[in-house]
Amino acid sequence: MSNIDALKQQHLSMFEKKRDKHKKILSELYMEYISKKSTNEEDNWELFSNFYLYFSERFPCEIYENEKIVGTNWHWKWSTLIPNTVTPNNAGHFIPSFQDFLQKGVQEKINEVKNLPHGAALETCLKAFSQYIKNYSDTARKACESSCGENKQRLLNIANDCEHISNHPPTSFRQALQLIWFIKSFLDMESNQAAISLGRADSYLYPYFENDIKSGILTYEDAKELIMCFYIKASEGDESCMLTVGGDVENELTALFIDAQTQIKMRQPSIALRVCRSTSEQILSKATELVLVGNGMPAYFNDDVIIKGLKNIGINDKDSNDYGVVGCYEAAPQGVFSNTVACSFNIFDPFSEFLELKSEYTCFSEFLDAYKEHFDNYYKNRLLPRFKTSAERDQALVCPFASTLLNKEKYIFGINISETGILIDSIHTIKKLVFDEKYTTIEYLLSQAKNDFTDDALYEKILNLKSYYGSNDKESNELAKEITSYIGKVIRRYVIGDNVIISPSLFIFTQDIWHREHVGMVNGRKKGELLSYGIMPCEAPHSNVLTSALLSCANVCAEYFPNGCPAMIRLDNKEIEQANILPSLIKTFFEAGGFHLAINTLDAETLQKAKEEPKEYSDIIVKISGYSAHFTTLNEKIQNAVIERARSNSK
Amino acid sequence: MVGRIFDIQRFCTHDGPGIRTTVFFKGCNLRCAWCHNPESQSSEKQILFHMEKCTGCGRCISPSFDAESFICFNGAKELCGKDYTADEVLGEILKDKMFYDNSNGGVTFSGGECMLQIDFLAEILRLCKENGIRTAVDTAGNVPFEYFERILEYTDLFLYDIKCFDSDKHKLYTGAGNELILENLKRLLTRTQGVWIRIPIIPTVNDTIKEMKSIKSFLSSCKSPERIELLPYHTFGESKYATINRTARTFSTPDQSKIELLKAVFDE
Repeated sequence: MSNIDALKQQHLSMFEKKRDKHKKILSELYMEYISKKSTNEEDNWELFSNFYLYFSERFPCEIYENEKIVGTNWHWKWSTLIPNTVTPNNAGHFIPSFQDFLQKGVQEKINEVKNLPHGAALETCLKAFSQYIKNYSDTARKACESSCGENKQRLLNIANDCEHISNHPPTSFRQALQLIWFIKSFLDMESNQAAISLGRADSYLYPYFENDIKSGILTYEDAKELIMCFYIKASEGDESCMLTVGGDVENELTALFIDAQTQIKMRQPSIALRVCRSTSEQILSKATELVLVGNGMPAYFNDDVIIKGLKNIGINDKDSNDYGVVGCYEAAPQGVFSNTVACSFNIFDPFSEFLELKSEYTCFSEFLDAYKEHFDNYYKNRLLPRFKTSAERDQALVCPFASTLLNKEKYIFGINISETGILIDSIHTIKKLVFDEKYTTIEYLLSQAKNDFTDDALYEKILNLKSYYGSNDKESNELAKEITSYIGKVIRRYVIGDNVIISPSLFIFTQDIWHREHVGMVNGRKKGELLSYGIMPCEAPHSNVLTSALLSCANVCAEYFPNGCPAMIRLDNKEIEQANILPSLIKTFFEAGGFHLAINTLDAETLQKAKEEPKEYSDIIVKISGYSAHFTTLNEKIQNAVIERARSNSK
Repeated sequence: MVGRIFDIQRFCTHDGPGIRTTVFFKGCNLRCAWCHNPESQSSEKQILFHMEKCTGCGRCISPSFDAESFICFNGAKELCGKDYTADEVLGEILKDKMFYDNSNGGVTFSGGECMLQIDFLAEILRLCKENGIRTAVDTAGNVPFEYFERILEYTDLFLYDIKCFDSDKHKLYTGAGNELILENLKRLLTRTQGVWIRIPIIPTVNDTIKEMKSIKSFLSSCKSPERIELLPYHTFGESKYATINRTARTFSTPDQSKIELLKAVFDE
């Protein structure tokens, strides 16, 4: 077994134990620290920074066999182990400014942060970070003494690299990658929220890579092995972390980051591939190989639509062009303070409420205008106050280490919206049956929806509709455009703070799974049937053809929702293996205006077996929303939904 | 003029290059023992009955039952065979034009035996070409050669089956000898390069090196086709027999190593 395979095996055999142990260590150190504090006078920024110092001086520094990238993955939910204590903070779902940190190094950052708000705390925190890295250097150097040969050289490299980057900017690819990992793991230690993502790694790491290759101290194979070591570290934790590659910076590292995941098949980080006009055939074919692994990676992102969307919400050109992907599938500028999942609402709620008004309308446009007005009022009066409060609270979060890596002049506030597919289809069904054909009334349709369509004739009428959201006909497409652009405009109309940028998305993480017991909908979906996810059409009552469903989705006004418009599909490996099918599918969807495409390849039968015999299938990784997880570790409700979705998408 | 179609499948990736729509014509003049689309054989409309899905709700035995518009909520009964005008079929095909263009795909006419409805086939092929869509015709070739002549101009690719080489055996397993089929293929290859030969591999019927060698030797007397594909027998069609109240004749499925071995005959 090669060293890298051994490292992976070692990881798989103990990561759950390690995770629990590290959570416990952190929470115990925190409680110990708090109990030694005599007064409450200290401000929270200093309280936490001083804790990091306390922590860095005491944590058990572990270096495992064969590791070339070191550093414990501190688990983000450690504070849940602390009874009756205010959790440290909830900053998460952002991309730190890795490039800036790499260029400056710890020492220069210390000098720089002194002048920022809470400067003293930030300084303490960076000193703690420096000490943290130094411990790895010392531990490795000590371990050198009792080792020999290749292993000694490995430990010596770690000792020297860590000593250097504990103060100075990295000078090699290995050092840069190591520093990225330390930053990421220290951020996870600080945060009680998830999805602090890695940004455009093939962009900011390229100068180091290029330099090392030129000077002959690094080969492509070495680089790939280091990246795999990095991926194994990133999989020790339990959260959702994206690494973005491709787009206008595509280079040799783009391919290596993809290949490394194809080879090592780790759960984290998830790979996001930016696709633009200059994306090469070679990268698309490497990405196809990764899709065939079956982990739901990479997720494809359409630069044209996303960059336009980010500019639309007020992100400057430079940051928009240089966006990365956060968490599941949220596009966001790198190094800007954000929370891409700050707040959410179900778009069907205001619609249901509106239908209950039972007003009379003479024509469809009157009905649609009344709905729009209702939504506008609902948003302004009911949601906006909640968003304002939330944004104010978020901006006051105590997060010293994150603050050294983020531009906090602006705060990007992510609003997640679910059930768009069902909303569009419901409005369309009302248009057809109530206004065009005058077959029924809104009131009757609504009462039938609540009773799961006991009226067979009505239900058959709905099933026989030739056009519905997902059929890619002109009428439902126009409606999709009109409704989503209207919602986008309403959200843009209202401000929630001088320096707050609202970034909306059309998805809520796993909402479709938890809310499926919701009563029937006027589009014909019955209670218990799957809800629509992201911008995909609903899977009931109409069965969708993949190509039409995608083209329908492409009509959603994604440029109003740069924070994510996921379309998820399932393909068979046999289909993907046919030359050029996947790249042309992606190209067509993106040309039509699609935002993001994710592809699952596992079939329902395999998943069902995995559910029944978890031990045999412990390596199966699936995507639920955008988050990758070992299928067998999921709870039954989610497992069932994943299986059902795989079944309904199969032809 | 209408064509009798029993299915239009979109996003097909196995009947020709790229992303395709496959239009299945109803009616066939062969009765292959291993047929995986038994509902395609009769040219009559049929109601398929999936007994396992029936809940006995009784809606389909009510007086107002109309087979053409009826939808069984449980998916237990479905109408197989529907008459389309060429424009209606074209409308379905055009829906995925963007995908064909980007993937070098197009439309495949299959069946049943689509050539049996030659007037309709010629018409829809002509319309497709008019609309810039690449076309393929999937045929067993058991029709007069003049049928091929009528559609050559509008057909980019023929998917042409050779089921087995010995005519008596062919008759035993498909109901017809293969003289016309092989003769048509030879003539077709003098007229177009766009032919993919497809050989279904059915254990105990034709899964021998000897069989492959006979086919190969026949093909070497013809102008060469663009591609030769071996299609391993599968049992996916088995459950369909029950829906038309027939019993499937089953074969074992060939394993991959056997397929490789047979494939190698053509690579020599």
